[in-house]
Amino acid sequence: MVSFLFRRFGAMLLLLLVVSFITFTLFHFGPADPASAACGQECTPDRVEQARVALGLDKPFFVQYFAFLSGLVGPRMLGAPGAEQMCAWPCLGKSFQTNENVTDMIANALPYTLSLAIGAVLMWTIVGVGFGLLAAMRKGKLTDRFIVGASSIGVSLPIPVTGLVLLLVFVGTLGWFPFTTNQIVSPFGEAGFGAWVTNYFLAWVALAVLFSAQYVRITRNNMIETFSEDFMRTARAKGLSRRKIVFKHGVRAGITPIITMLGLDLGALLGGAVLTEQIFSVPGLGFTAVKAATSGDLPVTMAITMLAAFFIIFFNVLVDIAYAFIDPRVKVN
Amino acid sequence: MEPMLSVKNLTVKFPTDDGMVAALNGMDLTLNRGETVGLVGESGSGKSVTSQAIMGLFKESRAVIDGEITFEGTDLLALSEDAMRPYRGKKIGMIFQDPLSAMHPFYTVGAQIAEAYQVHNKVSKKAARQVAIDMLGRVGIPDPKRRVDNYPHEFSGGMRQRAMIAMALVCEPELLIADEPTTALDVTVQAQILDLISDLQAETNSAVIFVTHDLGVVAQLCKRVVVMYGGQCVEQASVRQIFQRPSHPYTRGLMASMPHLAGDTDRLTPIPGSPPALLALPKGCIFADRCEFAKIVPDGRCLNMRPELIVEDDHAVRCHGHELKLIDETSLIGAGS
Amino acid sequence: MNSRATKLLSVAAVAALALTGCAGGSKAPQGGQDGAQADPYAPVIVQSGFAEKGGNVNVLMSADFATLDPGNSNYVQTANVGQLYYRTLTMAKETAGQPPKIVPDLATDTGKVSKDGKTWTYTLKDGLKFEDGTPITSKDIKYGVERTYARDVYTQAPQELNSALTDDGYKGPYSDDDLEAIETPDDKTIVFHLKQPFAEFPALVSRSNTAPVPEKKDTKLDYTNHPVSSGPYKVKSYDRGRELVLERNENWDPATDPNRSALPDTFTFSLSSSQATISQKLISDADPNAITLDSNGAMQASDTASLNDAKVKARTASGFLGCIDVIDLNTETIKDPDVRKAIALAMDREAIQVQYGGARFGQLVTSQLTPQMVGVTEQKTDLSADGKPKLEEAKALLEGKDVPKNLVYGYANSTERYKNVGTVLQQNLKELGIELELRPIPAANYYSTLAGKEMPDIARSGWCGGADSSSARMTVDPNLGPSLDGKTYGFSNIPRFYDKDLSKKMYELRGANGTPEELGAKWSEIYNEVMATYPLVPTMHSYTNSVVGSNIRNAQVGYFFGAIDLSTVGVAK
Repeated sequence: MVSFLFRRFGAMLLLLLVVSFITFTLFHFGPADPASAACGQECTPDRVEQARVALGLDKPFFVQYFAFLSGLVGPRMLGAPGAEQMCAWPCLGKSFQTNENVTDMIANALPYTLSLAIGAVLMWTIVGVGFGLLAAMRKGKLTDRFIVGASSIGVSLPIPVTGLVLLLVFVGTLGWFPFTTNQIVSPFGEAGFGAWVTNYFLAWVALAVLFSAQYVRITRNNMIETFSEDFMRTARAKGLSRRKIVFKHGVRAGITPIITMLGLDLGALLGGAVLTEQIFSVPGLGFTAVKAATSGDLPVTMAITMLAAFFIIFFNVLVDIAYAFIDPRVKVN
Repeated sequence: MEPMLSVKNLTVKFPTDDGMVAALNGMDLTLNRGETVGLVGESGSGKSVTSQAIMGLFKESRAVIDGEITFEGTDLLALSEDAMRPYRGKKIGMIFQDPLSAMHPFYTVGAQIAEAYQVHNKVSKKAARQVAIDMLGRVGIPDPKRRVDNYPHEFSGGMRQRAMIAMALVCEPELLIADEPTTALDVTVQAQILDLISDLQAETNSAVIFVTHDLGVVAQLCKRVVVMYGGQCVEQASVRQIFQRPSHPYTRGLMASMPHLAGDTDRLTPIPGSPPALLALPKGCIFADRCEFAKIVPDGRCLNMRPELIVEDDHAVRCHGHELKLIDETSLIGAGS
Repeated sequence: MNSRATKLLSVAAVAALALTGCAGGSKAPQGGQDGAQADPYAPVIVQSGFAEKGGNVNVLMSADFATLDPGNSNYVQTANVGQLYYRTLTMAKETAGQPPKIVPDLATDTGKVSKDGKTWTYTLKDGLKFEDGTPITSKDIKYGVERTYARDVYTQAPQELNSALTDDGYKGPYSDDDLEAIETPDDKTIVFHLKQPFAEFPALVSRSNTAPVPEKKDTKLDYTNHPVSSGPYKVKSYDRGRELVLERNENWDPATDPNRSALPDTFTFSLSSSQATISQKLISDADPNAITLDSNGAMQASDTASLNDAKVKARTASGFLGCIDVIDLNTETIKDPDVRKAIALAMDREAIQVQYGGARFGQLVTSQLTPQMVGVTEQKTDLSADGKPKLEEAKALLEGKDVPKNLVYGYANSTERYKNVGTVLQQNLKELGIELELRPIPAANYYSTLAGKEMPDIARSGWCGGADSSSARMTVDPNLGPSLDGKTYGFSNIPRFYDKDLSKKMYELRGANGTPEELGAKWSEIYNEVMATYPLVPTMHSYTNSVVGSNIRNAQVGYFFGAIDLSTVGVAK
């Protein structure tokens, strides 16, 4: 197990390095020029060049890339001569747009994305797996058809539509929920758990509507398949209660693909839920990423891309480890 | 004496996209306490459907069931899913064909046996585990204390089937249904498992329904045989009667296809034709289109009239030809040539 | 990576959805309260005449300020909030619907100019102090200007003032000594030396360059986190990307500052509200103390219906901005003025207005010169006032001409609206037998692309009046004038207009002495002549509606700021 973890995390670091290189390359050779973006509309060509120097973009590609990497192992100096700034480890650079330390920006944005992701994942797992299970148990009956129908509507509703409708109806018109505030980040904060829930609830719902549908589908299909397995017949033949048959024997066996999907979705979501964060004013990673990407803010975009990649890879490893716990046939080595 | 189990005129139909498939078309079966009956037939003849119907495994499914299953005076078909639970495992135990797929892959063998015990007996986890260890020992698993914590995939095929038997017998059921328990095993292991089942039966004195397509196995284990074809019982008799005087043309065909009975392993004689299409059963004898006697029975009776099960000297046969005494023992040779 | 990319794309799609939802048609907004005769574009101030101090104003914004550093800001949003914590020699004082008026701020007057027009002298008022109580001197102002020369540090440093001063080679206080173009003979006096006369100089010293910065407190790029206040408010807390709180600066003396009423005790800026949240919050009056600084008051075309609701209308401040959008025609690739004129006449400017959200979001114009500019003369053009295309006339112009078969329209890829404008043009030009290709340009470098080799044949651009939106020169010269040496077209001259005679006239007019009225008339005459060759086609004069909370008083839309003027707004308790 230890050597397995060691190898997986080693591979993960290597993969991250590749991702960083690709992202850096794409930006460097892409059409957007961060220097002219940082300079604005009334900017002459020589001012663009000055901005290029100020941002360190005048140096050769590999010098820039290794400067970036050096910030990951130790502190780094940034800025023009006469106005150098020390950037403490781990240094991901400073925003081209606002000069904020990117590490701080990420550290500030992450709790919002976490709040959003944790609630949303819980909600869609409970709703999606619950209804998927119910549909599988009532296969072919009215309940099943209703759930399958509703989920196919849910999956086709884009976040901007559900998000805006939820905002308009439950916040704007009915006033049942408050407008999202960026002052509540944690369920353990001053405002308390209840305020945290109400602050993020509609955003969770918007994500859950979209994702639940997929979970309904995958749960239903998997459970129907599992229910037809021989060991499920054995469980019945033992005289077990329906609850035990479904949960202890059925769900345990049918859960693996759901765990996989959950891991991948959670990994992706932690990289930032771009649209949801935009609509519900949640200043998380997705919110920050959009602003950075549209304004050619390379360090911020780099950092968030890397973090998103990290989460995806990390949760992949986590899923593999989870497999070993769920399925005794899987050997981690 | 009232039989322990009686199945009367049982029909089971499954809805499919193409229409209703009739898996059982008036199946009859009786079983006395402590008795071992062999249920024989090709695949698709309704053997497994019969055993699963007795277990009530078609409850809450879309299957349409008619007829009667009486177990110790209780109409099992009338019971709800929940009311059926005390019978399952406790009074009727079941061994399935492929123990690898029939056991849950994520739980240890011991846990699965202990679970089967705990459903019907209020005991602690620890006590149930001890029962599982004992039971594994009884079915001949070496070092059961250690093996109890193994997962099914860590067992060999024969050991798995032993464990499956342990699971089925842990509550000492009055009736054991063994649904082709040796099919998935290799020949040497098959014999061991058969010995085990017959030993345990002798110990516990439970009745056994032994489902198989292999008449040889039946000869070794059972006193009485029920031959099934197209979801019906076509012949029922003691093993001796069946082997000495097989009366239904299908039974004869089965016999002929048995290597050791024909005494000539090079010349197996399969029954020509294929099992009936259960979607559209003929209105006459279900076996008619494969039966070489259908031509000699007058009035095209075999094609137009479903034969009745006629009982004579505890030997029941469903055949117009037999009923009209048109088939004698010598025809067996003809059937096999 | 891939899913991120599609997510980003869909953000753009959302914006498009919101914009194209249901445009408000062509009904003009109802501005004035004088009944049927009212000018629909007259400015509206919400609850004016309020003078009570106290309370807190919540300012909702969809993004953090790029910077609060006066030496590193080209942004109107920063200029608007900057009024609260920094003062400049002169100040561009906002009046709804009008170009801002240049009034004295730290200085006692708008400046004394020498006879040759090349030296401007300012004297500071008495009793000026920073937030820590130290007096503000002319050296602090000079240091503030010097910082804006360190362009390798401050990429956004404002340059209009610097380019008018003599000392072009100066590199800023961090790597150079002293800026010779500015003298500070004593703590109260500051003298500027110019390359050539500049009638609008008082406007140049109203820009944030002249905000005083104490050298000892200069934290360079980190100065944005806590700029030292010389105005009525100071930074209480600043949580980047989330919240900025300004509280009263007790060392600010209202007797020295007649321009800022400074009514609320605090301003709380919420820096991460989505536009949808902001517009919902304002329309539903969920926060009665709220205003926004987002462009268009955070309203989308789809909010037009709500804006027409009487209750909302009573809380809507509105007015023109200095901004006028145009369609630029590349005079280097479309050389024939008649062809350019034909293209201009074929444009359906009314349909373009719809793409902007309809009449509520701006007025159709035929010139970049507004009646609000000083000395402007009558502008003649053949463009229709109602924006409808003149196809027959356009086709007649092209008879016997060598008409280009294919042209390219470039647009900023982040804004669906500008792509839609291209679609309108595509249809219009098809009538003339011209195929128009729509080419997306990365939004971040849209303007540098237009200034470079990749300039397409046709593009959209906007101009907000420059440093002084009351001056015709500040619009005409940057948009159509020649380069610094007069030998080619200027840097931000997107149509690349260069005509030997007309460009020479503009070059000479730059250094001319005269009253603003005289100079305004001369610039507008030249503009009229240039426009006869159709280097660009004016489309919309932006008009902004900004809904405010029901407790908000004295809310006016700044002509320059494009949003509620923070220096005069108040809040009722």
